[in-house]
Amino acid sequence: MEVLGYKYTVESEAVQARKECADYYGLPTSPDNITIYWVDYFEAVDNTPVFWYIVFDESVRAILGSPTTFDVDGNSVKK
Amino acid sequence: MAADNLLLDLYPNAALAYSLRRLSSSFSGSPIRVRRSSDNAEQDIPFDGSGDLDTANLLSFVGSNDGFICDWYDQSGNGNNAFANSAANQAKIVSSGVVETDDTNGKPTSVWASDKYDLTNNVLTTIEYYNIVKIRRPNRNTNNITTIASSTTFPRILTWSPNGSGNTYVSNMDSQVSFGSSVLQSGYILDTYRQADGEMFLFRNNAQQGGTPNTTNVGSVLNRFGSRGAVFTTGEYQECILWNDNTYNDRAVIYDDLDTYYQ
Repeated sequence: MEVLGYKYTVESEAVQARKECADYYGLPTSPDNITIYWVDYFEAVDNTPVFWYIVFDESVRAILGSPTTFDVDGNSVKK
Repeated sequence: MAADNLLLDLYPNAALAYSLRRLSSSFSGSPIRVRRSSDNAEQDIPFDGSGDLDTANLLSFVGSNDGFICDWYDQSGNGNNAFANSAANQAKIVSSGVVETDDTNGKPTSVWASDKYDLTNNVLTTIEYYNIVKIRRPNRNTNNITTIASSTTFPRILTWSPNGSGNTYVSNMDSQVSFGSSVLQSGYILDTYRQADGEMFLFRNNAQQGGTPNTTNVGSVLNRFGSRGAVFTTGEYQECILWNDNTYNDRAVIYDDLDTYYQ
């Protein structure tokens, strides 16, 4: 499956990217809130080597830059 | 609302039930939790006295900005809410101070733009189940709708694929069955699905669509509303109910309920 987004070879980079997006939008605003992130990241578990990625949303372009297109084989697991 | 008149009063054994209307007289909670764009604050939005979404309450909270559903509360009694921790994946319910409504029936709807929700608990499908959703697929070329599925590519119950093919797929295991592109066209649809004895059935407005393709029948764990793997939903939802038992022979009554409310 072709995905438009941001690809990371190290999981900590995906975690940091997710945090940067949340920080940019001031999330979470309350510990009781459901919304704690702006975007999720996924692990492409069936790719070799495994990588992590964030699916593109226009709202993160200003934070993460221009997205790229890459192939994800089989399943992806939300982290 | 009087008991025994609502859909889940009549057929109470749903595995999960999300809707912008009240489905059960025994459900005393709110149907959704909404995040407003102005400051990302969240609030539960209740029903009004008629069992519809309290849009006055909703607009009072959201104001002139946008509102997004961050939690669909499960009305089945199983507490299996569908939640989205990520703001970018929450369906819109208010746009610039105006409640999103369906073009046909004028009732509130949720507008999904590559959105998804996680289920609080896994749902294990059994030998046969029945799925009814009230959704809209405005554009067959761009919309991509999934009902209840998993965080991996399979299993998934029901999907529409975009890119012009418009094919409708049903799956409950490690493969999918296509019902072709003529099953579901643009506009509002009522859709049901049942798998039993190795055969699949797909209904629209209580009329069976396509054939009854055979497939291996196994139980599967489902944990998503509106996505399969990293494929998210674009379209509209007003209601999604999954019965994890056989309501196949009850569908006429179920459709009557849907027709009465939505059309």
